[in-house]
Amino acid sequence: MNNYLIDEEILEKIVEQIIAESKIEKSADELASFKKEKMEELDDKIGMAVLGELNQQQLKEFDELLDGEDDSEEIFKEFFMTAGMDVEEKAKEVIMIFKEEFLKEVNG
Amino acid sequence: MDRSGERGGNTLSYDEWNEYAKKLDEEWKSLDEGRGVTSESGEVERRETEPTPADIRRSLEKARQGEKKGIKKYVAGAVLAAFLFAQSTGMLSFLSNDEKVDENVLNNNQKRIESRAEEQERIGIYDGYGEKGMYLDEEKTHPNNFGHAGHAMEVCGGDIVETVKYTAENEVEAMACYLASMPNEVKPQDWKNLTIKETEEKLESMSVNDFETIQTEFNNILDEAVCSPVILKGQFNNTFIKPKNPDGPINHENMRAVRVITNEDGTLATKFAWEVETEDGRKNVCMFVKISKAEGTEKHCLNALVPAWDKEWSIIYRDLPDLEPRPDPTPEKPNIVPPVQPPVKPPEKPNIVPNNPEKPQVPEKPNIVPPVVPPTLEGKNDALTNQDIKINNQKLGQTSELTEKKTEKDYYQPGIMNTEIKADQGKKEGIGSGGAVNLETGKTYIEGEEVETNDGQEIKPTFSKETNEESKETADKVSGGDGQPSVIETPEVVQGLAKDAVGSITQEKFSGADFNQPGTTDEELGSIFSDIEGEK
Repeated sequence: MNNYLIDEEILEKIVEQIIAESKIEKSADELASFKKEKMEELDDKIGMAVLGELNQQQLKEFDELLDGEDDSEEIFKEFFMTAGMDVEEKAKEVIMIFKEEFLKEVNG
Repeated sequence: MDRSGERGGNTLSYDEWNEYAKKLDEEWKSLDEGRGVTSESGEVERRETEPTPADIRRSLEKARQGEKKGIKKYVAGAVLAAFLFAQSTGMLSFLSNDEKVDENVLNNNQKRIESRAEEQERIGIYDGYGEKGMYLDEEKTHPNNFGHAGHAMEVCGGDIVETVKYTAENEVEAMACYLASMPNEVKPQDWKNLTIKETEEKLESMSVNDFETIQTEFNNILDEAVCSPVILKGQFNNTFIKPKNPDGPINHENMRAVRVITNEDGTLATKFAWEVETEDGRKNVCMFVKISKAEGTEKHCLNALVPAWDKEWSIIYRDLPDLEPRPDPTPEKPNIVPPVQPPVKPPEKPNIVPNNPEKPQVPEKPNIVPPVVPPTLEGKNDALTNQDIKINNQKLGQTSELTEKKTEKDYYQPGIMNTEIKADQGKKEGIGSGGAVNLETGKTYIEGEEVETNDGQEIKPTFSKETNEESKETADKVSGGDGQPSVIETPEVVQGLAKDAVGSITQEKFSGADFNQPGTTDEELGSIFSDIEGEK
């Protein structure tokens, strides 16, 4: 099992698209490790941004959900909805910022 | 925040204090904006109760490391939806900031796109390979001004179900393709077993009221679907639109739908799945809709797909001509998942038998492959009734006959696809449409060759031992290791919620569902698959 919060395939897809469009030139080995690094970075950014939207009490409740019996997707969806959070919107925002930062990085 | 104490304890004048307070507010605001909090109430609450970055990280790690899959599924679904939206609206386009503000560059880009469109038009592919299924922009301010999936996604707030409805509403061809591609089990009675063209003709011949009725019914069917993101494998049938006469005007009357088979390996799609009650009990059926991006433009289209090897469902294309000239079936570049590398195996031990003149070597047994027995539709698909099977068999027969009889001239004769919609019928004029597909059930495919039939029975190819292992590994990688393969349920994701989730669509548009049912053994599957190959 990987240590990503987000599904690895999805992270890979996003990073690959950004890499492909940036036309960055790297050897296959370099590219593989660069991709992995960026996937971890994106996973971290999205995770921190999403959970960073929660207040102390909500974060505590989130932890309790993680410890609880119910492991359905539904329960987390309800939790974020109740917390007034649009995870999709936040993710979109982070992906866009990530793309901008990536561009700056590869273009120096 | 109460600042009275601070104010009382210093010697600032009222104006200075106001200035200072304003500055403090600005600082707080900028801090909170960085965290995505902008509202006044949000600010106050956040300042008093916000967790530290360390707290957040601790929870994040807990979510990552824990055994709980629910949170991962939920976040994965949301992120994928965000990505699809960003991709479809061109938000992920990699124009640099300089390019964005430089009008000359923009103009050059526009010219490039336009010249590409001209080139596409010249070779007879209207508005570009990869833009199958676009609906016509209502305003039509320019002959090439087509609305596209990105626009539709924006209008619908990124909701894929709403986007499908929207394109269907705006374009009868799109509706025809979606409707024809839906599983028979969920279609209204009169619409079962119709081809795309038949569906379209039927839609066009309806009165406004009847059309609205079927549209409402269509929307309701979509609302009952559970949607989940998947990654496709293999070749699929698509439809898109080309001019009947390349020198003629680019308008509705001069356009017709054609079929083309494209390699969709690694491309993202959305699975619409339904759980239906049949005589044999409950079963799962589905169809796939995808947004594709045209290489070199920022346009995207929305279309339904049917796996090319799925003879049963490919018949919905039987009366559409094939596209000529054929485009390169390479999938759009940004939407490619690189092929999974086969595992590196240690070199096998060489099987060396020392020469022994006293014991002559026995010649090896010839490698005899047993003959392949063709499968029957009845055996493949329990869900269809006997009548359905007869119809399908009949249609398959017709397909062969048509294929034999049709010539290139037949394919290109004007009027083969009359897609005109009378304005007074209240339907919107449009061209382009979703390609169609329907897979009955949560099927999986490896290289477009792995099937799961209506009853959830899988049909797998006969692989050599090595190939089979590699494929299994690929499938495991993409499907969370459950051996269920190649239409990849993205997050390890989107499995297991079908029963509970049915009927709750929009909110759960990317929630997962496991529509894969227990399959037969590899040997059985391999045998059946070989048979299908034999049919091809």
